[in-house]
Amino acid sequence: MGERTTDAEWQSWLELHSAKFLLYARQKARSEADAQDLMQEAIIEAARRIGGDNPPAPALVFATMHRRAIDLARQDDRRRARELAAAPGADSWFDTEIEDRERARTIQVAMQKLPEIYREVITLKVWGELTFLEIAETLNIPANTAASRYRYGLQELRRLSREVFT
Amino acid sequence: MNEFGPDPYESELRSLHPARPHPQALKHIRQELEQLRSSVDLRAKPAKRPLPQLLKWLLPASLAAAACVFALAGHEARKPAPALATSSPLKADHVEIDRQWITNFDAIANLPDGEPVRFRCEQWMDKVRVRDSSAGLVLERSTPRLEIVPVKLDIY
Repeated sequence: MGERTTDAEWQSWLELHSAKFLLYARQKARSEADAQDLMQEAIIEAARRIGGDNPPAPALVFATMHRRAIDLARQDDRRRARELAAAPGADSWFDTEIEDRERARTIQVAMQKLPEIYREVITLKVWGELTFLEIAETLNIPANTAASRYRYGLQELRRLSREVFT
Repeated sequence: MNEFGPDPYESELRSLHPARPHPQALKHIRQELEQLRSSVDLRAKPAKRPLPQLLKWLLPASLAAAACVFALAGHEARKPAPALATSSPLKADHVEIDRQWITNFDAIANLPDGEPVRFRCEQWMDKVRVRDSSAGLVLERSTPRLEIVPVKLDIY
């Protein structure tokens, strides 16, 4: 059994990965509040599943979010309450400098128009930094399907970005 | 599955950094992780019990178990032995061995190499009869028996 992770190491792990977890949660959830819940619960559940001593692999957190997304959608009451409390403007997907803000907004709008099956693969590949094999295991699809969805999704995203920009 | 090479558009996407969660959300996660680790500690505690503490209850428990075993063994030893049957051996003054033919029939099967084989089956009933006239006993036992003889088709 390896050594237990310290508080500082947990904090570093969260700082390193939580942004991409939240971005993926935003793809899967219907609201900002749902996304926050989904990310938090998935991190805790994934940590519990490997014993609670050490941080889980990011792929496990993504897979847990994928599975929990359906359950979370059923928890209507809590979602409504959290949506009311959510801060306005909290749903910006990217941290950007002022000069990049327009580009980030364009990508976000294009991503929102992209069908979910492509959006989630792109998110896991580009920002989640997973391999196609890891994406396949996360989404429970063949690796070739993950790769073809990525290829087609990128084409579509590029086209949609041009539409949004013009 | 081969990963694709660098794509300029992909690089452009990568240059955007996902927004970090609100500090309050991260604080909440850290608290939950802390609780999780505390519960893991509680579950792990019994396994870390020092040896003398284990012996403290293990020794009396072993002594009690040994006492029970000895008590049961003594109880078994005090039980009276079952009385042996007081019977005299059978003195047979007449024995009959007989066999009775019941029926016969043929069956056909194929060997692994495809050659057909006929089996001639005869069913018998073997009988043994023992009589002890002095004791007035007659014991009779019948056992069915099947004789199977393979016969090649061409010589049947």
